[in-house]
Amino acid sequence: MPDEVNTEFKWVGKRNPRPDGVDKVTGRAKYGADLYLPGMLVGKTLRSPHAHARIKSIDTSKAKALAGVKAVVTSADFPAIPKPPGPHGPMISDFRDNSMNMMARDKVLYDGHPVAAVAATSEKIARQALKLIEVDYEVLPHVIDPVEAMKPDAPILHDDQVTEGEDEKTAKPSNVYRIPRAQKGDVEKGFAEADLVIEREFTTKAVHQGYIEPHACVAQASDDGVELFCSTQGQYVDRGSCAKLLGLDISKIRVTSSEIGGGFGGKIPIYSEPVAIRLAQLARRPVKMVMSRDEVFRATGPTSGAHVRIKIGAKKDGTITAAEGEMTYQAGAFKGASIGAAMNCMFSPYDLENIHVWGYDVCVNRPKVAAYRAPGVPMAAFGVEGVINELADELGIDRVDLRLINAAKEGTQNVMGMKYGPIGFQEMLEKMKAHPHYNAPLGENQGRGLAAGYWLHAGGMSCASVNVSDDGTVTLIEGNPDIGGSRASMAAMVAEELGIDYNKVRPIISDTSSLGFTFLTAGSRVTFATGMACVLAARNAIKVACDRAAQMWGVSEEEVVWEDGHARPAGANVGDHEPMSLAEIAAKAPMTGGPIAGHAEINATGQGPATGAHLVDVEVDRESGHVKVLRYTVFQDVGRAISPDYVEGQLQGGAVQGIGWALNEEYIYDDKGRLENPGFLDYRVPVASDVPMIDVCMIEVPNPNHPYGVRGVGETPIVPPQAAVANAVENAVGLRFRDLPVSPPKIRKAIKDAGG
Amino acid sequence: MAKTHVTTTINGDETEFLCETEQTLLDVLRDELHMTGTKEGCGTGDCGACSVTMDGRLICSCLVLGVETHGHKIETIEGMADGDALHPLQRNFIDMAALQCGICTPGVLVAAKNLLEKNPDPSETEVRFWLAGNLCRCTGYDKIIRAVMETAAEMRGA
Amino acid sequence: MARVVFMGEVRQYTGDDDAVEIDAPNVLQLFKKLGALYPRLAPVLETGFAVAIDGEVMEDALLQRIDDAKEIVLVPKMEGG
Repeated sequence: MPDEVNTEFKWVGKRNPRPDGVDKVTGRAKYGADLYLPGMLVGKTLRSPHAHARIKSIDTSKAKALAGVKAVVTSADFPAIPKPPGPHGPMISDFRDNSMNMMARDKVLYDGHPVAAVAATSEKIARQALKLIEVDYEVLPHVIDPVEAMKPDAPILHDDQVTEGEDEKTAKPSNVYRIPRAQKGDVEKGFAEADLVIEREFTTKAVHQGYIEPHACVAQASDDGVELFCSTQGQYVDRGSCAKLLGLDISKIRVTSSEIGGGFGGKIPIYSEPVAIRLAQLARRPVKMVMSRDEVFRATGPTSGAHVRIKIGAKKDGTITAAEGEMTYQAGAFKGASIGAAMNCMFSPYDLENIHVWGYDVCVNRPKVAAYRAPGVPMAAFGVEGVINELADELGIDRVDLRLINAAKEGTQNVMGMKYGPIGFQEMLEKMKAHPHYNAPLGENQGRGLAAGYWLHAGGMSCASVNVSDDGTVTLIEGNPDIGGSRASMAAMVAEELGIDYNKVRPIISDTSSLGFTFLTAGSRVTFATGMACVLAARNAIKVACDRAAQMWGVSEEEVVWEDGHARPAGANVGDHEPMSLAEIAAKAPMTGGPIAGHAEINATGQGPATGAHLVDVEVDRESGHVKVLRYTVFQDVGRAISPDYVEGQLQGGAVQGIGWALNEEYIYDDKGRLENPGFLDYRVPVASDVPMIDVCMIEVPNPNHPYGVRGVGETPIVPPQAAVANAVENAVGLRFRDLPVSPPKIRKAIKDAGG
Repeated sequence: MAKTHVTTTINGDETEFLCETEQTLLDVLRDELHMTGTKEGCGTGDCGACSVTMDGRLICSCLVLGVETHGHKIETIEGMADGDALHPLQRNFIDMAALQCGICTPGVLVAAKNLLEKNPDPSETEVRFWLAGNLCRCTGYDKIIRAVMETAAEMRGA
Repeated sequence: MARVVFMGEVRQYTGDDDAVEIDAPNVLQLFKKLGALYPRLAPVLETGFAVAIDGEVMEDALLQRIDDAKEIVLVPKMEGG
């Protein structure tokens, strides 16, 4: 529950039922795998059993000859994309990599890498056909760990990749793609001023986003164009990728996003979609491709496992004088680990003068990493917050007080160069200290941990249309797949602007041909950026409505104002005109110039920092090493919660994903580089009985750059849990834990090694 | 091999279908009957997205063969509301925001309804352990548990 | 005339220069002048960097006027999940 309930709005900040609620509780909502078309074929993918191998030949003739098989594709059926000229800088967009990840060309680079695909009249026949495809592999040495992959004699994944900045003609090929670096001030000077310097190393394991809906799509194709129905975090970005990978015009492809069964960043990349389109083109029939859970784990987006070294110096009074971080991140088979975001965010809850951070983006024989909620940041924050907790203990300063001493405030400039506007971090820490949880008594073998986190949400391109029907009801069209209740927020803001009932606004998610480009449902941007577009579209519709009222009254547009859902004369001197509701104006629209509508196409800027802090109690069973989470409280500056229910949901869900990351989730590979736990039984995400209620304390410091003060809220809550949970375990058993997951075997061993 | 003719009752309606021996009940519901409210999250009985009941017993429909349902009564999410009248669990899931993406929701609702039929007054711990076979990656379970507890209280009072 | 400050990642492309004074009407013209001064920066400017104009982050805003800006910091663009 928010501390202060908004009272100044009618719909914004209220717990309105979501517009897609009934469809989702009755099973009517259509997700990626729920579309069935006449004559539809089943597409299946043949995947590499090897971590690293050269493809000497692929023979698909027997599969093609099988009755019921309508198409078979390999990389030869897709355009070869040339290597784009470098350097790429902080944002890597390399369609050659995407193409080779979609379908291996000369080499397979991880267990699960696609090598061929078939479309057949039934799943059974498709599976038989896969078995008939003969692939001759030359198995190559592989490398799974990024530190190993950086050694001079490590197996090289890409013979034409040199470390950015090196001369492509003379440098040796390397698995290290980039070594980005950021600096502020002078860390040497800062460390020299410190009374205490703590330097520690931390590791985290690759973890999967774990969305419950596997990737799924249905493609249809003819010479006229392509139709794709799929579960995605961005139908427009998907469309662009498919066009690029297939050599098609963007306007020939229409992508309709299904309801999406979770994504967390993992449904940003394309995987089977262009393959399904190619199969549909060849078979001239619709093709559905749905991944199995095994395929999801082996071949889609885990986040990077990481090695992180953190060094922080502080004075006796707690002032941090310098902070340094070195990160080694798995990129997977292709470049692009989220080191940039880690560098930008890891020290950003704090007001520090001297910072030096850098990292290694390292290719290894694992699936290409995908974004996962605050991509890159939790691993680095695990180290930073761990060292800060240790500093607090060593200096004898309360863990919250140490953070308060160094907390970012309005005007703080972080390492990326951003200067903060209003920011609620200090207020949040004060609230944490005053919260009953903070001083609640703990029992034997129980411990309390805490940590903070930061994320800068995204802005970007968004479109929206507000179409007013002749009964005064409104269709709101926007372009972001609704992954967690965003329709409710969009409808609330539009109802607020128009001054009409929330239930009179029907929000619709457009396909790519019905509305202009809208960027991803990602980066905590939707309520901020698309919300801004919806508000502007509503305001444009109001302008049209006011203009009509002015014309009907025979006055000028400036003499009409919009208040409480009605066009009203701006003052007594305008004349005695009865206020007109939206419905009344809309009813007259056909005879006064045509439909009432408003549109907006924007590039939203003005992001505000989103900070959070988590407080957690655990109990450790010293015999088994099992950790029980007893109590959990999330504090976050949410700007303004448009839909408090769903903001709380984001904070609770992020916390529990973080608890899984902290305590037991991990990718486990055997010595041949094959994933050993590609299923929910062995890759265990938190279940209902693993966690307590997640209490939420929202702090609302509005972002001045958004009409309703929105800050993106989705990513921040996965940043603090890893360090907070580890810190709680440390407090329960009196030992430090710097390697995730803090699983029972590690806890048992640590207790035994300490003589316990 | 020829398909098998199976007669069942689904959500109160006598339903006949033809299926291959290896097709699961989940395959039949989705691919043959196009009742897509029941979801597939794993196909191995680990996630609970495909939860239905057979003769009142909660099962993962991915672990039961279509042919095994001959002569049995199946209840799915599509049979939970009475026409337009939502079951109290469905209404509370909307009112209390117990879903985000919604993919686990049908399975969670079927499982929760089955729990309340057996135990109208479950403790929070009992609800958590009953729903431990239904994975949700979005909500952190908090609002789901609250909605089930609230519904139980409401139905006991009604 | 705005002071363009190189903090963080951008310094990898500016030969360790940490600031430069540039007169430009908008971000596009600023990027053109910066690209001419620092050829290694030119290919990554538009795709990789946003600007913080007197503290406020503006991404993909080539036409943003900067006549009155005092300090412009080049900041790397952020991705997200």
